[in-house]
Amino acid sequence: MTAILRGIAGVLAALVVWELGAQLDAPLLGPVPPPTDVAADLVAVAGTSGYWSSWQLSFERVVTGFAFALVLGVPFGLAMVTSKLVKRTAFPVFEILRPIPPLAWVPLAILFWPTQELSITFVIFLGAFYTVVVNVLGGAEQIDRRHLLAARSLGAGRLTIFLRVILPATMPSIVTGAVVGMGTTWEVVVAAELISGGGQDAAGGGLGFLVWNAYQGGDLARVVVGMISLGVAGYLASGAVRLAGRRLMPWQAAT
Amino acid sequence: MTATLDRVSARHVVEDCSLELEGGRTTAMIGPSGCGKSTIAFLLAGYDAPDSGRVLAGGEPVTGPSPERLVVFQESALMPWLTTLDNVMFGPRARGERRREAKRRARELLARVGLEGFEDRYPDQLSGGMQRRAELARALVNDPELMILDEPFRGLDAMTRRLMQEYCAELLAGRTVLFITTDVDEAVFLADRLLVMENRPTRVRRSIDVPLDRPRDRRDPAALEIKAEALELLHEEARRSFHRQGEAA
Repeated sequence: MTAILRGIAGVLAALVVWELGAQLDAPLLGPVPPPTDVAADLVAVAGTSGYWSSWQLSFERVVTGFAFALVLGVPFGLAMVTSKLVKRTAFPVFEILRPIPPLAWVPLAILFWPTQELSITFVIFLGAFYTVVVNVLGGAEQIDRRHLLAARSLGAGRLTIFLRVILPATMPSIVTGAVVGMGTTWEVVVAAELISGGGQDAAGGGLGFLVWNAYQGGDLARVVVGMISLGVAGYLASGAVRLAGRRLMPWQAAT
Repeated sequence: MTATLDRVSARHVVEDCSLELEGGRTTAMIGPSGCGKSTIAFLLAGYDAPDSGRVLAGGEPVTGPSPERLVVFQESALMPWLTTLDNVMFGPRARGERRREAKRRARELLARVGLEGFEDRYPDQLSGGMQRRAELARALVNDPELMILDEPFRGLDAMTRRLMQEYCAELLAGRTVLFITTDVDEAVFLADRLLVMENRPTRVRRSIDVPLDRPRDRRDPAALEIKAEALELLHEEARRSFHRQGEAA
């Protein structure tokens, strides 16, 4: 309970600093619309269906891209873990592609895919994919060799060792990768939604597009509304992934 | 089952080392740490192959790991993601034993090591001593021909250690066991025979029989005499390797 109160206190303190900074024309914060203006704009925009369809749209894109990142990233990472051949072949390509920012993929993403939605989802997918794979690889390095040896002695075959030793041993890293990867998807959502031309109205093209569009129109309060919406959305999404992760690892909750 | 190392060299640590573990008896291997005792454990378990010489178990060459030769590792090697019961069932289940039967036997063994009621706990929820007992159960449930315990009680406090030694004396009676330790007291309490090892290269310096009745009394004068003999040898060995380090430096 006190933890929740402290969290609320922290948010309030940040709001006070922001308000004062904006009112007193402090460096950095001076040109930013104060929280009161932003709140007023938030109330205004919250009354439009476009704002909420932006939430829905961005969530759909993020969840789809993230799901593909997990479904492809975890097996790919594990394949590199279990097979030296796969790792030696695929790792250099992976490492060269990894530092390319998802934003730089936007032009190719548009060429690759037949629909706008697929292009956006692809860019979001890239944001999470590398994080997931890197964490799987890192987690596998921490597998306790004695667990593998014990499993072999006890008569476990390759499949049993994979399912009952390698997979659970890597699970904490997979979950960490998923939580961080979920965060990354929200980081790239602005870049990804640049591809979109907007929805039924300016606020309806996704939360990332909302930010971009407001910036183009010079509406700073709306930019900040979009930023905060992205932050809250990312927080909720990562929290959900963390919760799911805990479910998958009862042994960690137990201590 | 008798297990033998016949003029074995491995990993540049063990050289021309021969020894025999007699069937149904506990052999304690004592020597300073870092003298290749774990290498010998790994050779017998089949994790490592010798560079030369032969490793035999029951007269057959050891070619790889087998449920017939199980290692209890230094510190706990229970799988933290499995409950105590699932850890003990791991071997039987991995080899296709039916769940129900595996469960029954695992429960039985856990009760024997005093872990009744802790079946559903995860290893991290158990004390150090309980973890070691669970680990003994995980090995014993497979009824292996040879048990290799590699400094199994390292890191336990003195009282727990003594308790574990008593558990071991009872649980391992009649089995073929290699018990690796740096603790002479522990070795004399548990073993039918001591192998005092020498360092660089690792070989058997001397084999000492421990012809004492069980259950054993740690203050038995005969036990103290054997302890003194082993300690004297170990001390000499330590002094020699100390001087050799001096030369190397």
